[in-house]
Amino acid sequence: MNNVSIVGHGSTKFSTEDLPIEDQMVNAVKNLFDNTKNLTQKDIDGVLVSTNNNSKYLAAIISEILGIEPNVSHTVESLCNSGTNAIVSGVAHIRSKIAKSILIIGGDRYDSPGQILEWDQARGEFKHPIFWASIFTNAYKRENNVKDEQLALVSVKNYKNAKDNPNAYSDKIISVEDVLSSKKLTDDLRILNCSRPCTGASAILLTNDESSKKFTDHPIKIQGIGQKTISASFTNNPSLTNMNSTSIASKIAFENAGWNPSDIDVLELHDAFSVCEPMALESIGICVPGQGMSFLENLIKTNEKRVNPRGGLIGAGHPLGATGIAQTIEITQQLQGTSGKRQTDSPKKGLVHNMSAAATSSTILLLET
Amino acid sequence: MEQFVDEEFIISECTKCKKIHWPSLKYCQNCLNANTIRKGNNKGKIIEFSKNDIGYFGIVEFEGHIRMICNLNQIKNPKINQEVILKRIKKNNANYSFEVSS
Repeated sequence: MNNVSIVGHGSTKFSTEDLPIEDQMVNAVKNLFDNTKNLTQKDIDGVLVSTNNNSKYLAAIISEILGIEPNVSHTVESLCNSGTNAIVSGVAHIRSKIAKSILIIGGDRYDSPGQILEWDQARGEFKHPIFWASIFTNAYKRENNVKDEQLALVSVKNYKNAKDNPNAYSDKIISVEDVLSSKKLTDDLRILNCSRPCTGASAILLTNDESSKKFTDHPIKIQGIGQKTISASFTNNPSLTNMNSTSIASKIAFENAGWNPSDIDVLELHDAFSVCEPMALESIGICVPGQGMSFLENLIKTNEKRVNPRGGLIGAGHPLGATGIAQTIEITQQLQGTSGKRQTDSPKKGLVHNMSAAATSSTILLLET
Repeated sequence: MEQFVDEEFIISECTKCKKIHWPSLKYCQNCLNANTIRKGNNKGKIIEFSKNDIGYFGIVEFEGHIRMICNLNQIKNPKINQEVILKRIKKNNANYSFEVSS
């Protein structure tokens, strides 16, 4: 098989500024060029853009601005997991030998139209994501006897981790009391339980094995990919306490890598809301059903950063089309040993979990040094 | 002012395998045979719920399959598996609102 490696990356700081998406994407790619040795525009065979922004012909526009003339260029949209969907497309292009290198650029603005799925009429008047998150949260708390104080720990941990991430939206330290006294959205959700839609962009460069050493001394291999879409409608989720699409995508990814969940040293999980982190741990198989919260409490007690070291979506912010790429960059840096204060203890294998629309769709990527 | 109009609870049902769906679909999700439409049974049960400052909302299941997020404001203390009645469907452009009562 034609293996694919991550050989370069770049990102902007995530913010809530009113900036054009084109500028954000160009800045992320400039950062990637600055960080990647020997890279010129002529080395790039394809440009894929992941975004929910309504811009037209964005991959061609960004290519033109950056002086790239790609063979392949198009936009990938899949709501919140657009970023990892674009990476999967990039891997497929390289494995099929359509391209030797693919530049993937993800970005969105704080006012992204991807936050609301109008098509899902079964949500009635409750279309905003806080409503599905409240329903997941109440179901998870009841089934697993978990308290609001425990779920608040997820936000406290991820804000703390984000403090060491220079590209994160937040640089605040918060307490459990801060979470519990923050603005009440529903009986089951406070504002500090939520990730925040942001403006920002991230970029990643994929190449085949033969080309990888030209651009980096530490390529990171994509060893496993799993994807599953259960439906588009939230109410079609078979469970409200398990991310069914995540479980299936994980099984596929582990099978095609020949790995087990216990092999994973460091994880980026899609914590759109605090309840999503323990649910994702259980759905991936890192711990058994019902034990996600106690697993996290043990990590927090020992100050282990192996779950969402960059601060997750809650701490780092959530520019929808950039999120999956930013998650993948974090695991890349962790495996390369270049994460600075966020660095975990010599990880060899990492996992990225990126999902869309109340876990109706999930992507799992497995990375290795 | 938002202009809402009332709608009937109309579902689609497969002519072959009898699978049902809301909103109505032209073809069956299960076997891709043609669907017909019929009135849905308005008796449902609460699957899960939460509450905001306006009132309760939650997932209600109808005919053992169709699930929608409904406005539960007319129910004082909702409980899981509680039987409820779909009283009204309001529509404004593509935006629906489902009101249930006990």
